[in-house]
Amino acid sequence: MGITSKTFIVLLALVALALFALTVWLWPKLAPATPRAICGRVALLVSSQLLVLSVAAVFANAYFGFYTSWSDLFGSGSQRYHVNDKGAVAANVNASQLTSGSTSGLITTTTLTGLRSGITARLRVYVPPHPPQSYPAIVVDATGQQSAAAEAAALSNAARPVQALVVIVDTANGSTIPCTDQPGGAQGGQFWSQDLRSAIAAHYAVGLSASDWGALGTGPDSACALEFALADSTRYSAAAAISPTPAAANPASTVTNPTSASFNPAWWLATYPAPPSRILLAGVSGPPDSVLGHVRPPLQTTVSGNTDTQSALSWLAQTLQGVKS
Amino acid sequence: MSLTGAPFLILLTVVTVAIFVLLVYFWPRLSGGGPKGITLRVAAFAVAQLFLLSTAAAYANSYFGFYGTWNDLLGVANASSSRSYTFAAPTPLGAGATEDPITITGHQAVGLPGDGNPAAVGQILDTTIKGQTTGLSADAMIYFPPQYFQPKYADTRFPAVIVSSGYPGSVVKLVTLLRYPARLAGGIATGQDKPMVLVMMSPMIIPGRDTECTDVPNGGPLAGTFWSQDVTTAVERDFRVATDARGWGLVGDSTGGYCALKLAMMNSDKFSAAASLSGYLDALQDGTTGDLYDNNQAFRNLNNLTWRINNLPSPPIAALLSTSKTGEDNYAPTMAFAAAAKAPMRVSTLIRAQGGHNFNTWNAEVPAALQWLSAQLVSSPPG
Repeated sequence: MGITSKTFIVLLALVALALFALTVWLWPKLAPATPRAICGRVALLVSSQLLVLSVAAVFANAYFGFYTSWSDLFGSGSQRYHVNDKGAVAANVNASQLTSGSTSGLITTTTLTGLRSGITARLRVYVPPHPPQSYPAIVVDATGQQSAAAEAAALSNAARPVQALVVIVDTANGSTIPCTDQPGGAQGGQFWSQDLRSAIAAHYAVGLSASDWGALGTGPDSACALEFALADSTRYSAAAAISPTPAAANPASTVTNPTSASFNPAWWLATYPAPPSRILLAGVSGPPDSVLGHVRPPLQTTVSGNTDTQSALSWLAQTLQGVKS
Repeated sequence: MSLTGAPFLILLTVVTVAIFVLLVYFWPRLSGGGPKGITLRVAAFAVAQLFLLSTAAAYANSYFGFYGTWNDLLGVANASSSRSYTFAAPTPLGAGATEDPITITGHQAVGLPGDGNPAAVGQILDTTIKGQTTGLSADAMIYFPPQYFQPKYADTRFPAVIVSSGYPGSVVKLVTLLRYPARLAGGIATGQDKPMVLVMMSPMIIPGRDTECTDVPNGGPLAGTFWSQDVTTAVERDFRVATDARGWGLVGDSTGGYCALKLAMMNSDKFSAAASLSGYLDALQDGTTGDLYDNNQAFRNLNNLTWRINNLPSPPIAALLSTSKTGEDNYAPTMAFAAAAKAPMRVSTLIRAQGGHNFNTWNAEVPAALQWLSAQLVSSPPG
């Protein structure tokens, strides 16, 4: 009879009930103060109480599914197992996400097919002239724009080269890539925080720590850059938001969920601890709170009236270098 | 008085025995006839029984380590009665960037001859890890292998493995019952295992709430981020462990197994290997979890590992899934998962002919899981 079978549990419960009834019924007969009667009391009480206890134990075991056979309980069953080992993941798996690209000047154009997200995007990767041994990386979300004209122009400004790897991300059909994983939709979080970073780090002299990575966005596209530096601060430590959406313009109803497509920085900072990130708010006239809500340490903000992309990229490059050293 | 401590257990035992003795002694007084006599006897029997049950439950809890504190136990009772849960916003960390996220509170014995000599058997630190990004915090026992203390390895950053108990479950049982550190030390000595750092934790990071390592929407606790990002970042900051995915793995039993596989699948840039011992694959919801998914089936799907493997790209990780043909509910789902996984993911299986959801099973599987993790993970620089 199986340890978890209904028959066994019911039978045990019936026996326990019978012994309990017998105890109550025989009680007066064991009242005399003779050694025999006292021994009888102890024997009857011990056996009936232990039986009720075992009913409880067997019932709990069957309910939670701990021991499913007697040999399992007593450890006498076979402990043998068979391992079907399929080995480890290929070491170069992250590098395989990028196709070989075409280079024009300092910019290489290539295609990223995210291993984890399945999202395909066009990357324009800028590597600084005379690059140092290692350098930080800046992600520019241009998926909502027709072209990233301002960013491309800033990078070809030979007079003041940006001292960081810059990767401009857009898509062939102009569709946007959400900042986070969408329930029932695109896995944007997997794309931005894992696919993109791991692919770039596998091909260039960029590390994978948050202090190596920053993000830049303009207008509504700055939401992702802010999301990375605030809500994904173990992967991105800095953001530059050019002309970001003021806090008051973010409707509360669409932004209470971290998985929702739009990101509300003020809601995030009101709900979770401030991260140790650095944020540039460019083209903003009010205090940082007007965009981010409750700004507090260790989060550091810089506000600038200047909306120039070149300046924002340089600020990010310098900030990330400063964090590193 | 602690729930699992000797004083409480002794007190319960003494009271239980005393009630038994009193019952035998005052037996004749309860021998009256009629309904009154019978009622008295039934009541006396019930009181004695209740104490015996409590004593047995307390001993079982102490042995298996389900609930470590009164807070854990009562939290569950409260959570399941109201089924609601509100998450107080964590206090700001202040100068969090410079604050040490790991507080060392003591030491634990490894449970091997030579205890006290780290270079011989390693060392276990009792710590509390405070999450910089989530504001959550949890106790962790961190095991450092003997090599960590040997001059030859002074420049090595060791592979690190997050080890999780089930739910409910306590961290200390990972040391005393499943004996991960002692088994790893033994495996290293025989050359079967690599020196690795073990970060041992319990999914009970919030009293009374089984978060299933989930980032709960709508301002709920970001438990998934805590495990995958806060813990790894803090350990990398304070100790000589690898900082890339090829050096980080996870292992756990039951809920801990589900967490291990889920965290690796969702954070394959941080972890490259996960061993799930008797882990389930669906996104659990019951009285102890409350609503973790914002009542949103699409979001719940993202936490259902069977759904993920069928509907999303298979992530670049290696997984070891254990199950048994009789005794476990997860046999069919596990085999279906392994069949559905595509490259670059590698799914290995550990299949027993028999064995239930219990410590006998996991005790037999821990050495195999450690050996498998040793084969997956690399230190940096490789040594």
